[in-house]
Amino acid sequence: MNKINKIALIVITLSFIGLKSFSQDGETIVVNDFETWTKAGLKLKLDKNWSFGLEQQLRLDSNSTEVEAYFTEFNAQYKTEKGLVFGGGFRFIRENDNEGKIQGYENHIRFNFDLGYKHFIKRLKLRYRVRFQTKNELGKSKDEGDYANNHLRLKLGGEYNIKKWKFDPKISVELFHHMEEGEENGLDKFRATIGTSYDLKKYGDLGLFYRLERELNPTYINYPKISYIVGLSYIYTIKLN
Amino acid sequence: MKLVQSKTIGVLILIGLAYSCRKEVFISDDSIRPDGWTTETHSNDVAPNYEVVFEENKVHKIHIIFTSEDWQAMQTDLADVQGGGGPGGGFPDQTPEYFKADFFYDNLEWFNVGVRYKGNSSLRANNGKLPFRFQFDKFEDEYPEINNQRFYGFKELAMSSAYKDQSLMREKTATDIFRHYGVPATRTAFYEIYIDKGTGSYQYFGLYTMNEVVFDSFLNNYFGSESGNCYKPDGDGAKFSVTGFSLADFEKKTNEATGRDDIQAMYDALHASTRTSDPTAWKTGLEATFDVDGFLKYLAVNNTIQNWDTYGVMTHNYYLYNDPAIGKLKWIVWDNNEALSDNRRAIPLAMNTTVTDWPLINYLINNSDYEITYKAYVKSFANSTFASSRMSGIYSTQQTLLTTSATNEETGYTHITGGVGGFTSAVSTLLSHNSTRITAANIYAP
Repeated sequence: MNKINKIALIVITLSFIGLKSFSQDGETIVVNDFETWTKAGLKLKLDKNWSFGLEQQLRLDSNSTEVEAYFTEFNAQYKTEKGLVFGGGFRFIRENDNEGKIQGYENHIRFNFDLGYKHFIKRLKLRYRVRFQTKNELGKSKDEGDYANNHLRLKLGGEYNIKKWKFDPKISVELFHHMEEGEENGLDKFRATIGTSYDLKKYGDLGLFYRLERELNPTYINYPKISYIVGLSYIYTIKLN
Repeated sequence: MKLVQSKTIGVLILIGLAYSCRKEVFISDDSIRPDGWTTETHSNDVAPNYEVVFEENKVHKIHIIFTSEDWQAMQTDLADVQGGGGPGGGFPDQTPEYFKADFFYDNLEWFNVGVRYKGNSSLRANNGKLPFRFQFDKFEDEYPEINNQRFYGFKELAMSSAYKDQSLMREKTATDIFRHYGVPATRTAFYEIYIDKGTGSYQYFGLYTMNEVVFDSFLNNYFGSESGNCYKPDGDGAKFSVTGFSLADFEKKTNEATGRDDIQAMYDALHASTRTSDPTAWKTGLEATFDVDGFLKYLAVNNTIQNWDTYGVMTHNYYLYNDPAIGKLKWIVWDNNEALSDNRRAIPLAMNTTVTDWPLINYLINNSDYEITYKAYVKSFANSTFASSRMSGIYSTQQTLLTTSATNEETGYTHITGGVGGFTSAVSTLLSHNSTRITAANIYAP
């Protein structure tokens, strides 16, 4: 075993050990996790302006060994020739609650409304997006303490078109602002993503990304949760015009 | 060369994945406690300190600070609750929500304490002096630094507002009387409450009686256990009558996940046909499920002091505890602010006006053995715990203790009319009530 392999073995071993609970009172919290998000979808392009999408996504957490959620999403988008983008979407989410006394799958719905803009600087494509999303659990009322979980999201993204190279890099950063009755509100999440996609021509698009999500203003200020996410996607596009 | 590069990339990916792996951290409560937190005063590691919290012959003081937003939200919630109860306005059918506040006692601070309004008719009083409930760790999920916060070992406490009681002492005195005579009843103490509604200055809310909460500290302290089933009956089922009996009206306060077989067994024994055909067998059956002797003792006290706002008139204001030491349900009194007054709704000592809808009274008093026991308790109680020589001393001591608190109560935050004169007059009424009731007891049980 060479030196590099030894170091790798030590780091991997230590990372899996974690810290165990002591006999004193307290709480064990997750500060790191490795997640996998996989998505398959169908995109229908009506014309230059209108497109519609139907997607199914599965998210795994706990080192990608447990289902965090799976959902079906329908979305619609309208692009103007000047680069403005208007969009909206609806998700039906099955969320796996595996903490606390009552565990199991919960049904949630989520709506989102987007306003975006994109433009080019030479070979660099820049995208800006503001999204408002509202999420609620089905079957629970306000009397039970269930209020709409709203977020305002600000996203900045870029994609660079490298000559004679099929894997153009994409990067983005996004801030989440939480708004919910009876909860602590304000910035609660930061997301940074690097990825690429591969055009399979008539067979669709394959996407791959690596994402870092960091909790902002966590309950324990010194222990924000950081998720490292690997994403895979496949989208098949049908063009009517 | 290419092989070395591939190996290095592979190792780097492995390290990257390892770095990404799930990690957990244990946050010990002690590491994040706020300044001023001590084990004795704030933690869950000590037994409830009755000597401090329920110290007698003292008026304690509590100061509470809300943010203006929380105070306003609490009033909005109160208005919603007061608006409930159906057409004509019965008892509220919603429980008020908790709001967080900082809580001060004896120069110490408790942090983000849950404070809510409580009560039934007293909650509808057109007055700022309303009853409260405190839960010291209610907001521990939002503020983990207060995880398992306690007030000298107490998790929850209830504050009675002396509604309809110009003497300010009925709640405490009546509860203490029950307890003194051996009827399960909570510990009580006098507290002045001052609240900053987010304005930067305190409003005196008046004198309250603090009660420990039955299913928090009382069970362990009184019975030496809390593993038995504890119920808070409320609704028609609480009558134990054939009409409207429902186990759903027996809210469980302990062992929530288990059934109510003990209540059903007590009901079945009470209504057994042997009551008329074989009274001895009926008594044996009932006494196997219910502490009948303790209940007769309770009835003797309750009827002598004319505590009408409970079983026999109202379908609430009592608890039942299945004491594991004897395997029977025991009666626990609750909410005694309307006791010790000559109310027309009070049950007469002979209990001869109580209709069959209240079988725990009607069936028992119609059994000659139980009637004899009950009478003996009435006589004994009137000449011991409730004796004038004892009660006049208690009333006098408490009058001296509470005069300043009563004098300082402010319009809009008091149930006293006529200022301190109303208070003095109410204490005199208590004295004459004591005398009248001893006479009545001696006539009923010579």
